[in-house]
Amino acid sequence: MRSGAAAGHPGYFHETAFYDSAEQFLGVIVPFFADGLAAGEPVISAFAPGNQSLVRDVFGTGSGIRFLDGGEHYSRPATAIRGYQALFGEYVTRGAPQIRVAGDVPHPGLGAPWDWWARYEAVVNHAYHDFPVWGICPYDTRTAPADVVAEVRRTHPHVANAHRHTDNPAFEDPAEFLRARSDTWRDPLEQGRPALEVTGPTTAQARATVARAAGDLPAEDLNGLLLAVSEAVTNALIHGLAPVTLRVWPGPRRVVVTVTDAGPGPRAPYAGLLPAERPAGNGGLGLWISHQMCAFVGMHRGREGFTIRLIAGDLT
Amino acid sequence: MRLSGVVDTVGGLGLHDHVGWAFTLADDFRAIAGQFLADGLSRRERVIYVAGAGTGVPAGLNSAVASGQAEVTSVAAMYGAGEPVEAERQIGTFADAVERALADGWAGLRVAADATSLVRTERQRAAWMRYEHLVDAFIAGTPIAGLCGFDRRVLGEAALAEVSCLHPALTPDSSEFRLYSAPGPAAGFALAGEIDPGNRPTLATVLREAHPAPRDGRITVDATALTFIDHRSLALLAEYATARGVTAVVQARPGSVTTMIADLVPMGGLEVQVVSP
Repeated sequence: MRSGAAAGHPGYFHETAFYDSAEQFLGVIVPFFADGLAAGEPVISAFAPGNQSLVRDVFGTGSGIRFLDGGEHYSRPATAIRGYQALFGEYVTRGAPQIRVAGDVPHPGLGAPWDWWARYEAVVNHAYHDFPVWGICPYDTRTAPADVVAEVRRTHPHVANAHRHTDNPAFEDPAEFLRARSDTWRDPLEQGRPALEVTGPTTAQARATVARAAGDLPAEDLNGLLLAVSEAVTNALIHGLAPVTLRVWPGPRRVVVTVTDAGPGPRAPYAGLLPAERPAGNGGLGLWISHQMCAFVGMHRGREGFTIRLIAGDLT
Repeated sequence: MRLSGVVDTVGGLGLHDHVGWAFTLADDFRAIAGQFLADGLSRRERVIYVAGAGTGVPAGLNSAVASGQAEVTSVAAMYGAGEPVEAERQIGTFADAVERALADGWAGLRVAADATSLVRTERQRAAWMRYEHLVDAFIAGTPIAGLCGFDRRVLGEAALAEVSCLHPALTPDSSEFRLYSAPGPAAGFALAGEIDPGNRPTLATVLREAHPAPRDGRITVDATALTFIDHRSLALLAEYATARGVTAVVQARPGSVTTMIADLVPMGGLEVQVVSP
């Protein structure tokens, strides 16, 4: 039996909450965690350092709350999903009737581009559907920009405050939300002309071009970027429309790469943050692997066609 | 240590080296073969030049032919007249020739052959890929060196890649990857270079035709010199091993593309062993 507001609800109970003070934050999170602990449910706290200390100050040590390093856990949306799915799976195997989780989803107020986290908030409605999870994603309206708050309202089926949990009438079908969405964030490096621009590259030429510009990146960052670039060009050649254009902006500690083709981009709404639903190694994984490896991946649909934006290195 | 990599010269090659050499002019290959064999003469090796159609005999071999250190023969006499090569029989021929050279007091055997006429058809190439795979292991363990010439214009890119990728050393623009006899005790094969959707069909063909053998329930793949592979190509190795009921044990560097993919996408039939430099 699931306890609390999610009792009787099948699968993921995805809720947001808005706050503008520590009191309001704790007013939502403290009862949420305390009721879970009282019901013997696993409780996971995955906040950034500020909120994590507020929670620790209330509950002290030995409360039974599992604290995850929010910064590390939410480094990339695709890795956060992979991590949570593994964690939820473990708890379910051990017989947990419900898992309660809350964390800080990154946005520009916390120093991260929002686009792929907006997609995350829509995708998780589907990605965690198989688990009896009650998750609260609280947003601080003092730091979260208005466009972030607006999309949070469209991606959470439930909304909480200190007094109640209600259905959110602004919630939209996640697949429709994702199909209609285009990632618009651009790296400041892109204000200048690309250092390298190649039209119609082969995958090998694209990798060689990027490797030439990105030689200063740590080996793992570079290899991850080369994998992502190769997959992007492969997808453009197989699924997109000519011309395919590769652009590279090398920066101090990071490299921005875009691959543009004239096609409409991937049709599958969850593409990128979830692996395609086929057996491992059988194809359909390239975009997901890119989302696991890059510091940022943006998927933009515009007049020029579809552009995938891949960044490796230090985003800030 | 065998030479492994992309080469644009045959200078300094020694016994156990095995080079695939793509050429566009027969005269050029004759000159390269001449250099390769002259090195062998100066190292007191017996040398054999296997002439392709119209490629003539390298300058400077005649006196060595007279002395018995060099031999000039034809593709038809050495390999047969255009029939698909028979790997075991052909390797037996070379094993006998190495024995004779050693018995005659030479340090080993060095062979340069224009193999173009032996790999023109798909059927010929299928047999040749198996042969190259086996002969590479033979060369690695026997005092023999081989230079295989392939006419780029006659074969075209795809066929050239199929036959040249089975050499530890090859000329530029022949194949972006190499599959050759692995150094070290694990005795599988080594993969080097880059594999992606552009040349994945070549890898599939080469695995099918060369069909590297498992040993003790595994196929050990030294991928420490593999600089790029995409997940679908890595899956080909897993599928190859699975089809034989064994595991592909792929040795790769920490932080390499191979290791990163295997961490993310577990594949049945594939195990990555991380090997530090």
